[in-house]
Amino acid sequence: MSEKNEKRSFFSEMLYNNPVFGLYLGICSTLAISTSLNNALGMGVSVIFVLVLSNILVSMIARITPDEIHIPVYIVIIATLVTLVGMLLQAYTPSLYSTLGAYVDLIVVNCIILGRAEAFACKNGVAASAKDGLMMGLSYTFSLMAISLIRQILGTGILSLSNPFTNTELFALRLIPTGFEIPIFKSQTGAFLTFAVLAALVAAYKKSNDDKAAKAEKEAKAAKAAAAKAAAAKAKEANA
Amino acid sequence: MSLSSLFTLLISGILINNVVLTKFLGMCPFMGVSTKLSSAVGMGVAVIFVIFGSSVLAWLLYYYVLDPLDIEYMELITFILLIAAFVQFVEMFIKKNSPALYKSLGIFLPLITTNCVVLFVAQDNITQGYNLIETIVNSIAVPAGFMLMLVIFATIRERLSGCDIPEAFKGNPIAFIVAGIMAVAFSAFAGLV
Amino acid sequence: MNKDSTAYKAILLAILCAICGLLLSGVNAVTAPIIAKNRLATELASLEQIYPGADFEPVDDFDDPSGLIQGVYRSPGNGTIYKIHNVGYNSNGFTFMVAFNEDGTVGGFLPIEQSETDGFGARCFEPDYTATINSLTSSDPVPLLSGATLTSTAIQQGIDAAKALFNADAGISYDPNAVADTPTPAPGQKFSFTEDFSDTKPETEEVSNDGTTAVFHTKAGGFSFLNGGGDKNEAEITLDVPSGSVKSVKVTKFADTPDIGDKATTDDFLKTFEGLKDGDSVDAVSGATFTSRSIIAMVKDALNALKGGSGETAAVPAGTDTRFAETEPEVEEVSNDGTTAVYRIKTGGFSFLNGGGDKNTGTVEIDVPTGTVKSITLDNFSDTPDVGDKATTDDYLKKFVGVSDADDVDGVSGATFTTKSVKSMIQSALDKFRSAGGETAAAAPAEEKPAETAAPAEKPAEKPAETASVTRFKETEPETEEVSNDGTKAVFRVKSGGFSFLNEKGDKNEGEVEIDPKTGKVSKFTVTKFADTPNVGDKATADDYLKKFVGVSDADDVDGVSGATFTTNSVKAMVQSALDQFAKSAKPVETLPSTEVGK
Repeated sequence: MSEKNEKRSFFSEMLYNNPVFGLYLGICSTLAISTSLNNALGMGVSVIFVLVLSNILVSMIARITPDEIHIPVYIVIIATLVTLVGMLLQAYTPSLYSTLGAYVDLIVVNCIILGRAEAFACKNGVAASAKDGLMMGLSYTFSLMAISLIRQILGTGILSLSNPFTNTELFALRLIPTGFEIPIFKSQTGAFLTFAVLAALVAAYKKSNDDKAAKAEKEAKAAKAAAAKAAAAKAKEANA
Repeated sequence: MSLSSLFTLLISGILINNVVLTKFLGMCPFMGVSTKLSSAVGMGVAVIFVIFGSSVLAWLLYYYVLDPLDIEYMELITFILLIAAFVQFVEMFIKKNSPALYKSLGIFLPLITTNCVVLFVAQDNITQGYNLIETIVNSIAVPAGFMLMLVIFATIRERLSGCDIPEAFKGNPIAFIVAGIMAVAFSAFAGLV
Repeated sequence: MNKDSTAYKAILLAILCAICGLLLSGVNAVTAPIIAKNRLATELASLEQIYPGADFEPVDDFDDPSGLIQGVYRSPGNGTIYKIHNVGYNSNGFTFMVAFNEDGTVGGFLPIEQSETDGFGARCFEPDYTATINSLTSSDPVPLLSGATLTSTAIQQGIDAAKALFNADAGISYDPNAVADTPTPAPGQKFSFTEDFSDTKPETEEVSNDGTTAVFHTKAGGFSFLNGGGDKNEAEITLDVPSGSVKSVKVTKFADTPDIGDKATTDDFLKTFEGLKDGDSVDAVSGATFTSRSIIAMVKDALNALKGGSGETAAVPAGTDTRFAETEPEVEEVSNDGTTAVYRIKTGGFSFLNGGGDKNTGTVEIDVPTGTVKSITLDNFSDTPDVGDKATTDDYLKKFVGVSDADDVDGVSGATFTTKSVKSMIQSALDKFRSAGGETAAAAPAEEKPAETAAPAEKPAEKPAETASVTRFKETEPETEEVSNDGTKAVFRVKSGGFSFLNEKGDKNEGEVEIDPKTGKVSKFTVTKFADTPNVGDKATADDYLKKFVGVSDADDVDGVSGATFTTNSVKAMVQSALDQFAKSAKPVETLPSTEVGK
């Protein structure tokens, strides 16, 4: 199946290895933050920052770190990076920081980061780790944006984005007329439902893809077998 | 900090501001553990103990070390290390004294370290400015709420496994839908105290 | 060094922590001032309200054991501002700022965010109390506000915390345990007997009335009842009948909060009711407003009940009619030339009640002699076009001409609010007219408007005078039937409601009236059934009194009997309805008077 992996498009890759919908990692902050596009982007960028840097750093010191203390070591690195991000956010984008609230600090226990550090970064080179971090981070951000778009549009009817540094609104489109928006999407229940549906969609996509791939493989096998049979028959014939 | 305000804190932590349904914390183990009732109960008790212990220690650490030394920004690092150490300690303790429990908890015990709830409670006690008594009450109430959710969910999922669920929704998606419905149900507690 | 040795692990961790610590302290040094500035910026708007245009430096290190102080901001040359958060009544708490000038006086008291109850805790943030705070110094104790105890206590705690800090910094010594003098009394909560206490749902029953002294057992809801569906307070109220004033008030059941409401059940307070009459006002006991109000409501109700029995045809005070109270009518008399009384009225309709919009304005003319509506015009319509204005068409407004009570006209379906607003205009004008002395309708507080009026009450259009008499005793719901008319006398059997009927849904009084067909005047009048209160009402059915009606052509030619108003009314109604019935069936019209003598 590995050849199939490489042939997969960027989009498909995103879905298959999606940490949120595929592996169900880092759900906590995903659900809590995804009420608006702004929040999603803010959180996503922060996670990318931490993930990439932590992957790089972990891959750098993995070799000199004894096995028994590797968890606290990784934790210290990740926690430092998260504290850093927190300080920067608080200083330069105070409105974003106040909306994200406690969830900025909770990036440190976001399973994605520690998970990638353990599973990939400590075993691979710096460049590869960095790329992995970036890909994971992007895929996380896109998932976050997907949920946020749905929740924001259905819940408030408006799609808006503002510059977090200056708190000025960049654009605001009213996509659903006033009075027709569904406020439950702004609440916790909306988060759960949106997430469930999207997860189901991804699962369905994966399954259909897998089915297709399995079918293709079966056909290829059958074709191969048929071809082999034909060749054998021909050979028999030739020998006869 | 009267008895009534402590009671409010208790009810608030368990029911009204249930950490799973209102703050979305503790979802990872939530999804993984809550398929069997017995493991849910075991996990719940373990979490209560870990959070209570680590949060109280964290509170002491903050107010007696970090604050006087003016290094509050080290809060995150020190807290998470404290939690990791505490969980390690608990793990060793259980392994020695109750191998059966250790086996049944399996991989989830060390995973408590990365349970969002643990870090959240430790930090929340500081953010809200609770004194020691309030910290103790809060550190028991919140994980108790988490355990409540875990148990309820386990029983629901046990039933769900026998139902005819669309293929795409099997497993986690349907669990989230259940969680969504429970969020609505629990929002009824909003006016309780 | 061996990678696996403990020393290695320890050193690695130590170095790692050191590096991280240094990195973070570096970033912290850079970002901390920016963060402080950000926090300051959001506070600046509030701070500037206290010291406009000044500079502020946030003070990060302050020792506040109470935990109530959220922030300290020093303004050089001005003073120090403390931002405080505490919980009063509302569990969300409230935030305010208090400033102490450099000389120790209070520089400002500013609420930032509060959601306390209007009329109670919220009063702490209104000018009266804030002025009190602003007049203090940093060594003065903070007074509480009665009626807003929880909230003002929370404010007191917060300010005390700020005082402690300020005085410590400035080196001012003070007594932290000093208590402010008697709490600032609530700005005189005066209640007048003319106010509407219907929310206390008063109940009154007459225990005894010997003509001199009337005792009533009353109930009215206080704090318990209004706030939690608990029991009403009960009292025994003794009134002096001839003067219609209060003799004594004795609280027999106290259902409100001990130590709070019972301040209004002390002998001192109850004594203030002695001698009071209808229309007077009473100072409630501050801090026990609900209970005070319930007692005042009970006394009012007793006075009203007595009024029904007192001979004085007390004017119907404007405002006792609570039917249209929510439209908040505003009435002003424009003119009254003895024939027509003109009133300009504003009442709230749909706009006003549902969205704080404007009230509807109208002009109502009342015919002074008959006390009925002459005309109503709408000057300003504020409700919904095409919906509410069905109730403002000329056709509809015309229906009110000639009525003496707004509910005589049916509402307009689909325009309920506007109808109510229009009716309220009518009724307010009528009420105001009556209270000004030009009353027409029976003085007895007749809340019940009969759904249908008996035959004699029909208004033959060509006999306007009849309208007057017909409406006078309408509430007694007179029933008249002609028994016989042999040319020498017309005999009518009559029934009309007195005290029993009107107040207890008991039976009506019955009588027999004989009218001389030639003169159209009463020739004989007897009461065949007396259903009212013995020893009270029967003064109006005594032979001596009934004899007075012989020879009259209008019931009001005879004075009423004091102490038996309801029965008098009932008796007069019988006479009048017989006369009316006679007039209807017979020809002579000129015998009926066309003017009403105001009483």
